[in-house]
Amino acid sequence: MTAVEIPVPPIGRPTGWWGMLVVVLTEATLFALLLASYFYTRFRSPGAWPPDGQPDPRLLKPVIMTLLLMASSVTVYMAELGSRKGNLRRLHAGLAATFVLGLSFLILQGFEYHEKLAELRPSTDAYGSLFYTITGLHGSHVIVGLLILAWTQFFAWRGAYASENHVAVQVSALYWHFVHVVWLFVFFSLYLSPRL
Amino acid sequence: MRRRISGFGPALGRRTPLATGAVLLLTLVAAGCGENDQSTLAPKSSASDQIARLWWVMLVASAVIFGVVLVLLFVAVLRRRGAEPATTKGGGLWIPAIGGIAIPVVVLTALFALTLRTLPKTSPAAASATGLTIDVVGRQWFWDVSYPDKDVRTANELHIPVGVPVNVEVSSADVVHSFWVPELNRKIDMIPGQVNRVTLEADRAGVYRGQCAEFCGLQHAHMAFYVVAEPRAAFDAWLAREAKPAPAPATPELERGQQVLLGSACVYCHTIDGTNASGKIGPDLTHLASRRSLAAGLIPNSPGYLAGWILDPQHVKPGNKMPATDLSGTDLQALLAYLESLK
Amino acid sequence: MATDVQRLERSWAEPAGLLAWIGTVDHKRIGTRYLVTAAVFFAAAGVEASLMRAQLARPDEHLLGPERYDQVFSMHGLTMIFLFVTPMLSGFGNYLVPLMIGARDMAFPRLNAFGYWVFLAAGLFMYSGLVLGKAPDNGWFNYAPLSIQPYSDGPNIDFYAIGLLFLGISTTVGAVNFIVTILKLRAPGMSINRMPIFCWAILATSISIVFAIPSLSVAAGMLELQRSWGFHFFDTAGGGDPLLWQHLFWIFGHPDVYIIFLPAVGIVSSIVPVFSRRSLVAYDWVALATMATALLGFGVWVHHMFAVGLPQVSLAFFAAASTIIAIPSGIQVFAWLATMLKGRPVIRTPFLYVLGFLVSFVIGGLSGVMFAAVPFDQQVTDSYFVVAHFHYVLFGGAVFPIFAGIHYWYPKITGRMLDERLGQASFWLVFVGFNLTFFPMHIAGLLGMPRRVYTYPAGMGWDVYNLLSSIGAVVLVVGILVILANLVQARFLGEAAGPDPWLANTLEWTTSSPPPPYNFARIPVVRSADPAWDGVSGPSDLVLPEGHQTPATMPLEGDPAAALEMPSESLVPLAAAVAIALICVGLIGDLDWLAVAAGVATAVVLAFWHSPREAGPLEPAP
Repeated sequence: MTAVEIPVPPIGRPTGWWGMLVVVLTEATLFALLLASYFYTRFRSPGAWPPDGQPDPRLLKPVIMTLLLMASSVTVYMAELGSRKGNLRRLHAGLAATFVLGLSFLILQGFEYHEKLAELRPSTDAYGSLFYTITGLHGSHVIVGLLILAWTQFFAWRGAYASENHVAVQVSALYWHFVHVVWLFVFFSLYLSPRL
Repeated sequence: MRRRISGFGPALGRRTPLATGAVLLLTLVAAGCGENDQSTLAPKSSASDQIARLWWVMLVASAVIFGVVLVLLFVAVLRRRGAEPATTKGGGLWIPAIGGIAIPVVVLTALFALTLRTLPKTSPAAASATGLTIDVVGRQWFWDVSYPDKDVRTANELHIPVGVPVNVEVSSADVVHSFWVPELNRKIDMIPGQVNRVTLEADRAGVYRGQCAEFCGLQHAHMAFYVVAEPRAAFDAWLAREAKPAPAPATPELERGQQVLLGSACVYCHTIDGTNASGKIGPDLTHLASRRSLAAGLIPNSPGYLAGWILDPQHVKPGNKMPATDLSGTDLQALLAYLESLK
Repeated sequence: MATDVQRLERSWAEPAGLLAWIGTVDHKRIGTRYLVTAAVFFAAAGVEASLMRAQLARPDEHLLGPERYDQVFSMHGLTMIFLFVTPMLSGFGNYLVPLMIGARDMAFPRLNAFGYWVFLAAGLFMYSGLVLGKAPDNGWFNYAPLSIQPYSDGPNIDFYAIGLLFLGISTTVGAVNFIVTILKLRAPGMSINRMPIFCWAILATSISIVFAIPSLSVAAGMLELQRSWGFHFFDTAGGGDPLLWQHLFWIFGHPDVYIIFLPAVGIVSSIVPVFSRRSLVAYDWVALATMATALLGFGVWVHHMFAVGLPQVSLAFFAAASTIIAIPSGIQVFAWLATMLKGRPVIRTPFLYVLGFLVSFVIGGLSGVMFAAVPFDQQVTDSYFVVAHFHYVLFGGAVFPIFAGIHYWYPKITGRMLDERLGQASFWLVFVGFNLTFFPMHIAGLLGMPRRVYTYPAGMGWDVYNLLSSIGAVVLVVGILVILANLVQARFLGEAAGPDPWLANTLEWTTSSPPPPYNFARIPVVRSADPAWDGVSGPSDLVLPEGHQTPATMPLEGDPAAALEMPSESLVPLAAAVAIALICVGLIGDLDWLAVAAGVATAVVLAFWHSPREAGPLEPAP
């Protein structure tokens, strides 16, 4: 009878990480298709873009929002590093900072919407529909990310993530990086590309 | 295996499939000899002929390939049977290599080449290379046909001169429909906000039936039309008649009939050129009496059917957009007489 | 060792009682649930088909008016594709994949249960539309603008859009589970090129799902936003484009046919070697062809749109791609033929159904290749010729393998043999009935009969072919009833099967029928692709009797990596599914408060689900 040895400590990535990776791939595809629909609609429309005399989207808030998310990817990476090395202070600080940065992103997006809805609504035309659907779906993913971060932070405070068992932090970080990267594509497509 | 069961041999005699096949083939070829035919295998134009030829070539090739697979299957299952032991030996790669890669690559390349050759012959010719343009707008559930150069508008019927390539430009006023006259050419979808084109060129005079080929709602099944190909002189005469406004009513009964029409809801949807009826939602009725059918190929164009249609369209074509019209006996007769005069 | 196995029995024993039965996370029980539920939906779709064939048996028939007929044909397609064939194959995957790879369960057992409950709820949701007389009525591909106001006013299409968004969750989590399970939970020594082709098929299918379902979700989401909140995506008046729907739908829709086809031919690749008494010829090529089909499947979607007026260069590109995709299928067909030719075939019911599949699928595949010839496609698309084609590849290419799989694995699942004579009788009835139903449709289509018509006029030359189809449908139904009778009688009267009635080559046959909850008392070590035949693969000394554990291995080589703690039965997955179902009810019933409250409830349940478990040291470090 063959002997089989299970390595201790275990090797390889946790199944939870693989699962989140696949989820990230499928959600990323969602956004890729939405952006493809945006460009499809744009290149099928005659005339100027944005259509109907709409101005190009203003850049100030979105640029700040982009910087906020970029910073938050760094902080969540610090958190993950902290949990891997058993540095709980870094873990807590990293998670908290990420949460604050993410929340600031949403608040800014709220202000942006408030301003924009006065001149463009989803029901105005396909441009409006696509703009709000894409940014709105991204915003929902940020909200979910904040909930995940809060939940992870809650259990981190309760000491659940010793260095051998921190798959939850890894998975939260992976999701958050995805949220950040999608935003870069959204920012480029919706805010920068009409100006090119 | 624990139990031995009897083997199995071919389920049918060898000759039966051949005989059946021959009968089917004959049926296919013999089809397309009447006015109500919509057969892709009864081509009446060069374009549909090209497609039919492509079909026959592919059918023969498919039959050969299928035959080879059947033979291999029969050989495989009729060999010596055994139960154990199973073998894990390798080998046999040459079979999928040849059957799955080499031969398909050759056959598929040939098919693709044939496709590239046929495609230009069924694609729309440049408008300048055609002799005539007809606009067809699909609507739930009829065909709004117009000849833009001649200010002619009719419904559910196209007339074209024989031997002349005709540029048909199609679109839709509501949902996606599809313009399909199999005996003359491939189908082309009618999409709102877009103009698509197809070229029709009939080899010989005749009446060719077409039908909507994209599900468009409740009465998709009853959205047919006719393409009438006629000699140049006859076509020109038809076009000239269509370009004229409706004849003025010549008798008191016809006068009465016109009044009934103008006084009822008909005018909201229908146009009769030369009168105040100028509704654009429904088919143009200016020359209704000259058409072969009513309700988009559903019923013959005769007074009895026309009466039934006017009084209760929902009974004839449930779900269509025409409401019932309540008319007294004399009003109905007068209206029918007037409509019958719109030649 | 004996006490080890006793401890294993204790830790894996499932408690009795209704709640434990409902809350099971055992892949075998969940898999069986999928199979049975999918079979019920198959029956429903079969009734719908029978109504259609009754209505079309003769011209100008009046059994079903257009409104009813449109709902029936739409539900037939939706049910067959979304509620029968994919879940049925998912059921096979669920039951078999852990067994075939030597694992004790799927990677995420609670997620597995969740996927099933969502499938059941989504199916019931869509059928509630039918019960209300407001079922989707615009076909399974539901083109715009017919799908939006003002052309579609009632809730019919909302049942479609919300239902598919809901169901998509089940399909997606199933794919996540299969991918991680296949990559991480294979038995020690089962490198990726030693796993059964069926597992390759499930892997390829799941990867396909990951990238294809979002397209349907985007389309359905946009559709619902347009219908309920006045957004503009598909209407030209609002600056949108009806063709956007078509592209998004078919970017999902074409890969979907491979999502259906690949697991089915995975079943074929399981059965052919066993009944040919020989290893599968060209295993490597078949595995690659499986992955290649899934990949190429994303490059051909426009062939569903050849008639919409696209530029010639697009037509040529997609025609080329559609021609190329025939090649991996051809490789598989000839690999099977080679296996049979070089083997010594034994004819039993599973093998008969595989033969039926081969004949039908080759016909369907050949007619499919004809569609790559663009001008021919442009004549016969949207006619009964395409209806014939896709039934040959879907019924021939998926349902025959499913029937084969049912007859092959029934003994494993229930421990009893089906009756061989009933099995063979059912095959001939199904084979003759199927061909009689669908072959004449090729001819009706060539003679110009469009599809999705609730009736047709006499005198078009279509009458006899429609009548033949309707007669064939009766024969087909009888055949299926014989299968059902066989399944039922065997449950009570079937001969005991034992662990390996077919003398087969894969791991599921090395444990009892039915398997114990832990599948394998000793984790197997695998040294080839035919572990039950090679004489060197077999049980190892690894029992993992503590807790509820299965080993994890490295994705490519199959080297041992960790021991994974598996969860026990839980009602949380059901609660999550119910919460999401209530969101859907709130959306379709225009009850915003319900949708929001259910949304909050969903978040709470999910948070509860994802609380860290007690067992600390078992999660591996990166």
